[in-house]
Amino acid sequence: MTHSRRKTNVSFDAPAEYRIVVKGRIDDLWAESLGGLHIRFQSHGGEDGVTTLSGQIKDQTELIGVLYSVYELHLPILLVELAPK
Amino acid sequence: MERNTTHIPILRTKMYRPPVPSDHVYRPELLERLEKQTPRAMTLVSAPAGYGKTTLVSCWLERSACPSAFLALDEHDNDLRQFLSYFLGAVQTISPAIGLETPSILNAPDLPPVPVIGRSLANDLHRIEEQFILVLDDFHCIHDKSVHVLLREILRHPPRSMHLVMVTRKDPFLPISTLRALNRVTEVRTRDLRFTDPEVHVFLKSNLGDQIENATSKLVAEKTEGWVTGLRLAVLAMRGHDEVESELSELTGTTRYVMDYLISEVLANQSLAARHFLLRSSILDRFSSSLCDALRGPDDKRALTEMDGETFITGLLKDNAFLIALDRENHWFRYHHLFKDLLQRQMKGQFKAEEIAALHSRASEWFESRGYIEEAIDHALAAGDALAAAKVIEQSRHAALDTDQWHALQRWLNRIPPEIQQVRPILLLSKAWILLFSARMGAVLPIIERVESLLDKDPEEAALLSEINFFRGLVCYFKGDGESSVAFFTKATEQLPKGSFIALRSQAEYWLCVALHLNGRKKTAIRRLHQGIRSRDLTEGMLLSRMVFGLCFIHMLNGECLPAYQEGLRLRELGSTNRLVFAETWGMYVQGNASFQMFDLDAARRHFSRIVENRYIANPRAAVDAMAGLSMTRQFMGEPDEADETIRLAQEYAEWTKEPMHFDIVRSCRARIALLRGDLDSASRWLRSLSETSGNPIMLFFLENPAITECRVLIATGSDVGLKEAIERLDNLQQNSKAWQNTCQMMEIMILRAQACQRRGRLQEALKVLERAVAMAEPGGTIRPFRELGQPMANLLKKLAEKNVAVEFIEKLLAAFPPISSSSRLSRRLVTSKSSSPSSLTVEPLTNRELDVLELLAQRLRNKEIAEKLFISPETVRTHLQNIYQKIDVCNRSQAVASAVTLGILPAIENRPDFRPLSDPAG
Repeated sequence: MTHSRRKTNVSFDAPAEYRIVVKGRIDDLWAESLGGLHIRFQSHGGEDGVTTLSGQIKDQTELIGVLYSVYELHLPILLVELAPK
Repeated sequence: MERNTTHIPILRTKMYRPPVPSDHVYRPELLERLEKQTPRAMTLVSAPAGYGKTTLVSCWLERSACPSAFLALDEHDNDLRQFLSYFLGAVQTISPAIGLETPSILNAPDLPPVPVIGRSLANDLHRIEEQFILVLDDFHCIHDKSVHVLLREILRHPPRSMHLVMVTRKDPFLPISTLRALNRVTEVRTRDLRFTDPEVHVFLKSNLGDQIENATSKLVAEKTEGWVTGLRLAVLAMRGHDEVESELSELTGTTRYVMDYLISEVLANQSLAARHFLLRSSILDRFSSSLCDALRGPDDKRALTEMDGETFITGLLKDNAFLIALDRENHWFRYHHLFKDLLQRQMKGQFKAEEIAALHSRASEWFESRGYIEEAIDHALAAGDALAAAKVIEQSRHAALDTDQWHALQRWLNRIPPEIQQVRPILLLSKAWILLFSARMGAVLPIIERVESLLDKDPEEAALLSEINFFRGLVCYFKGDGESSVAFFTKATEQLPKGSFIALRSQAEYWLCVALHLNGRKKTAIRRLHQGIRSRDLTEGMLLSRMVFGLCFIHMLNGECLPAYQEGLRLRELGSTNRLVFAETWGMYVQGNASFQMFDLDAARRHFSRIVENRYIANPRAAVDAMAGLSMTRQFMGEPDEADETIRLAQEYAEWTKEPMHFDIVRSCRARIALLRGDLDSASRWLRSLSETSGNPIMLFFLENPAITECRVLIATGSDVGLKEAIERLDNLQQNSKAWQNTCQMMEIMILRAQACQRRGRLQEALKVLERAVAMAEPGGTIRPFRELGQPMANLLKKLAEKNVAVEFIEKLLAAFPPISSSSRLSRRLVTSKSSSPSSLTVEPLTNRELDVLELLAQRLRNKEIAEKLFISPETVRTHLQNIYQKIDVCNRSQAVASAVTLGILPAIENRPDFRPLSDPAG
């Protein structure tokens, strides 16, 4: 109960921790353009694999910006979730 | 920069359909699908950057038999006004006559509610007969909600003639699924746009030669996933680099990764000079060769000798390198969006932050020098130099104000951080102008005070001094200080150098005349205005219309209806010829107001209706007043339902403006209408709902002033206390109006006062006041304030006429009152024809008992005899007689009989059954 309440305790204009998983590689150079999120690439061999973006996002506007950037980078999104603390 | 029918500058390049690249791959299935679906409401082309969306659409339009318009949207279009003016501009390339309604809305001080714009735009679009296609390219740039709401309105009942094509990187916030369910939308999505293997092969062959093998095509197709931008990059990278193919085959990972590899290869293929040009120009949304040259800084000398902008652009064109022409003359270009992004990323890796800022600064200077203010501001801000952006505005504001583009100025100003606005006198003055135009004079004083304190330290130039004096004059004027305001406005007109700053010149001249009038120098003011009008060229629409408005203003304040009407007509014509909305709508208002005051109800209804239709672009106070005027006009015309409907519209309008004053005007107008209907209870109720009004407002020539209506209701409900209070209040209002040289309101106040005195039984005082009011009203032909008070006022006027005062004018006034309503009894007695009675002398209907008394009076019976015949006391007969005398405005019995005959209340003597000619021997 406590856990789920914390999980849903997110508002439109407040910061929140998110985790976004995309298919393909994003390198660290892009961190600046992706809301300063932590970028981790897990290779499935060579350049194949998944990238996890995680960290604090300022508000929903920034979240949409990050998702849009991922789209512009042409990478399919696998998961978006509010990160459990 | 060109100008269209609205006051928003239009970049024609945004409406230029990009040509189809020479190496494009013809895609018959997709084209056929698009062409077949034009009877549907819309087509949605939705895919990420670089899939050839625009190329496909352009190719389709090129072949289609259907005429088409194209509009490339960008971030700046996230402003409903801006979006709409481009939208209309694009439609006008198909049907120049479109846009009778909407363009004028665009110049409104505040845009009307979106549904209203939607209706107006839909009306305009429905008027187009011919089928056409309208493309909105890069629709993903639009995130402004009002634009989405507008399109939603349009798509709800799509115009038959228009097929809307939306080209976007993300699905729009529109009811696409509904349209899909109704089979009204064609969709072309990423999967459709993706190049097939054979298409990739055709593309590579046309770019790299016939020797390209199927295997190579297959490899490129796989690595780029049929993404045409990737293909194009691959072509550029592979030109002259044999190893690209093998390196490409070794690359794993996503397409994006391939892209980064390819772009770096492309750049490596370029000469140093060309590479620098590419990287520098990536900061630009659009560029010309001259702009590319301007971006070279002093540090780029080494590259100077090698290449200039034109050679650079020619080279890019030859390579088909993501360059999109924005006009037929090959003057303006832009990069393909994705290519620009890729270049920008490379640039950020290679240039230092200060170098990038310097590029933006140079771009800003170039745009400013060519008059592209919006982009100059963009780049100054991108350079992190808000001060430079402020200076751009300071340099451009005269041009904007002189062409009545204060909206643009407001938009520019909004982009400057407040802390900079606060310390720049010119920016503060610009803000003062915006306040003046949006009728928020109250906020001007602190701004001007701030400007003055800032300028204490600086030497003042003449033009600036003139401007400050102008605003000081305004502040004084609104305080009612005529003398000081005349002094300031005079200084302002004298200090302003000739031929400069037309907006200031015309405003200062206009306000000087208005202030002269306030100062009791009406003749000088009018002479000056006429002189000003004569000396102006007809092309100087702005100056001329302000002068003519000055004449309207003064004539209306003086209750000079006919000249006001004539100047109002001239103002409206000037406004429509010069596309000056303020002039056109004020002209309509003046015509309506003057017609109403002259009690020409048909004309009043016509002119008021016109301004009510245009209420969202008119000055809001004028619009509300016109609605009050229209409502009363209709009540007078005997159309109470229409009057109620107009009031409802006024209420809706007040809710839109959210201006508390407007709510009060609507409420007090309701009270007035109730009075006209004789419904005193409702009138009092509406009166009680008024909010506390503070002091005496500036009433000008407006028809509905709650302060006056309050007195009106007090008088009508008429307890002695109420009457006393009304008189006291009217005296205060009178003082105020006198100070403002406001004859128009003085008349209204005095007429009410006369009625109040009469109701208190002070007939002599009433007549004295009324005499003065009549003297004021006669020269200008004002009728309405008398007429509004109904029969008691008519009686009072008749008493005045009896004293031989303004007999002719009073007769004219009385003609405006309704004829006596005919009771059945009365009509029975109307033996003589109506036309034989002078219609000017109309009377309050007599009661049946009074008619009986009158009939017996005609038989020359005495009071006692009448009393006996009617079974009443002689006392009662006397009361009836007094009432009859008052009603038909006579003093004795013989006059009463004569007048009753003239009025057609009694049959003429010879028609009377009891008539006995003297010569009749039988008598």
